[in-house]
Order: sequence, then structure tokens, then C-alpha cells
Amino acid sequence: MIQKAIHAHTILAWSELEEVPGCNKDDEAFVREKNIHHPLKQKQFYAGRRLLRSLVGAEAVINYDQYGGPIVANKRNAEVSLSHSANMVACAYSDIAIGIDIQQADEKFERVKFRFMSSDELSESEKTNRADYVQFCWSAKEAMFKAFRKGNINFRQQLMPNIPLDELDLDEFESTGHLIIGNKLIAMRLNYYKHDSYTIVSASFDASKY
Amino acid sequence: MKKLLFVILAFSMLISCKEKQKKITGETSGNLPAGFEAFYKKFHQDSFYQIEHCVFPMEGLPDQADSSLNTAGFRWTPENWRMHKELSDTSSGMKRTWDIISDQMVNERMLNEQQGIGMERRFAKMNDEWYLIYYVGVNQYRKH
Repeated sequence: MIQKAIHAHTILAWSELEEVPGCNKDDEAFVREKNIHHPLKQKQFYAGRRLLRSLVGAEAVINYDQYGGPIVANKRNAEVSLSHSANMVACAYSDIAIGIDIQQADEKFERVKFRFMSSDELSESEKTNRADYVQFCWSAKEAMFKAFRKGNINFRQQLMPNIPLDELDLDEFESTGHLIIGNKLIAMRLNYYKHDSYTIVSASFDASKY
Repeated sequence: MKKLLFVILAFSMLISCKEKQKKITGETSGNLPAGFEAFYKKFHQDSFYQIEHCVFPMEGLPDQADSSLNTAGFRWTPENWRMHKELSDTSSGMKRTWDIISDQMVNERMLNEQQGIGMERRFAKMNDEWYLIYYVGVNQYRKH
């Protein structure tokens, strides 16, 4: 398991599915109730919840809000986010709004990039000709979308991660992205990581300021 | 505004005619075609899957469409598409109705009768995969 503290009260973690130990009866009941039958989906679900408890505490009661995002029902000011892709799971725990996304390298991002990248980002993508730029762009937008939680967001026009192109070769870097809501500009801190063929991006912001 | 109402009315009549031919109506999801529920869940939980399973340009109307918009030629595209989250009946105050037009086509309506507002989506199965093919955002509606 890899852990990163990105500021005083925000911790990120990611791990391969097999690495996350433990089992919980609430999780098993949830899997039955929600009819999660696919073996990989079950494995991802259990691993995500276990990894989250390893950060928040074994007693954490994990539930879901009206938008489908995970919440810790028995802990105040606990903001959490979960993501999984193929054989990896990632989670984030903070006292401010947080979103995390993990993605395994896949040609699907290139194929669908016209649906989520702005015209400026598409130009950058053509110039750099790097698949990891497109993948980071998706992950950053998805992490920002999760941090905002409420949905109803246009990925092309409202989410601007501002990925630093000259840092793409680093294993980790950060930027300040912006979410446009009406005439408001919400600044989010974005942290980018590479792990083998996976990209991990977290987005965090202090929702009380907006 | 008259033009807009005509478009909505015309579409509703079209749906009604088709429904008379082959619909199975249910307010619960019990009669939905096999595989649709799994698609519907993933469509709302996985943003990437959602944008892959929208057929752009898509017919429909934006939220609060009025006569100031050229609604007749309106299309949803990646430029104006806003990611959908699943609306629960209880939190939104909306009542969901499924119209199963065929094994390959499902219509979803969410109506708040007290406020006289509603939204509508249509899903179709093509090449063994479900897609969203039509979406009218939240608008005032008239009872027929």
C-alpha cells in the first residue's frame, strides 16, 4: 500500500486489490443487497471499503449520499472518496471536500477525448502527443467532479485542471485547477501520481469558502 | 413559447401512440429488459461509461427551455452535456415512470406533479449495448 499526506489533514492511499486485508459483515450485506455479482466488482468493492477503513478507522460506517458518493456516517467532518480500476483501488480521506480517481492506461481515453477535453486541451494533446496527458486530464476532471459531488457538470467547459506539461515526466506533481459554476470560479488543489501503468489524481478544496 | 409547447406536445403524442402499440408500463423497474438495470446503474456511477454511452448529437431539450432558445434545432453534444447523477425518487420529490417500448427501447419519465415539472430520457439498445438517445431536461409540463 502507498500512502501520501498531501496536507495536514488529507491522506491518499492506493493498493493492489490483494494487498488490502480484512473483511466486514456490513460490506457483505451491502454486496448482497445491491446484487453485486461480478467477482472483480466484488473484489474492488471490498478492497475499497477496507482501504478506506484503514485510513478512517475500523469502526467507520460507510454509507452513500444522495449523489452516490461515499460518506462516513459516524464521523463528523470526514470527507472521503473511492476509486478503482482493474487491479488497483485508491481512496482519499480529508476534512475538506475531496475526490480521487485512479485509471489504468487504456486507449479508450484517446478514443473518447473529444467528449471531455476542451479545445485548448485538445490542442495541447495534439502538440504533446502523449497518452498520459489525456489520461491525466480525464483523471483530474473526474477527481474534481467527485470533489464537487453534486453532478450536473460539463467536463469540457467547466473543469479546467491546468496540467503542467513540463512536469509530466515526474512521478508526482501538482497544479491548481478550476471548476466554473455560473460566475464563480472554484479553485481546487490537484495532486498527480504515477504508479506503473496507472494514474492517480486527487482534487481537494475548502467548500466552506464557496 | 407556443412553438415549444407544440414540440413537447407533439413528442408526448408520439410516445403515446407508440405506447399503445407495444408498451408494458410499470412504475417499478420489475419489467425492465434484461441487462438494462446493470447498464442504468453503471451509467450513473461511472462518468467515463456515461459519456461513452450517449449518442451525440442527441435530440431533446435543455433545462428550463423557453422561447428565447432555438429549441427546434437543439441537440445535446459534448459541448453542452452535463454529467448525470442518479436521481432518487425521495430526494428529488419526483415520481419515476418506466415505459418499456420494446426489449430494445425504454423511456424514463420523472415527474413532480405538485410543482408541475418533469424530465424525460430514452434509452435504446444498439449492437448489444444500451445508449441514451434522447433527453429532455427539467421543464414545466402539461397534463394530457
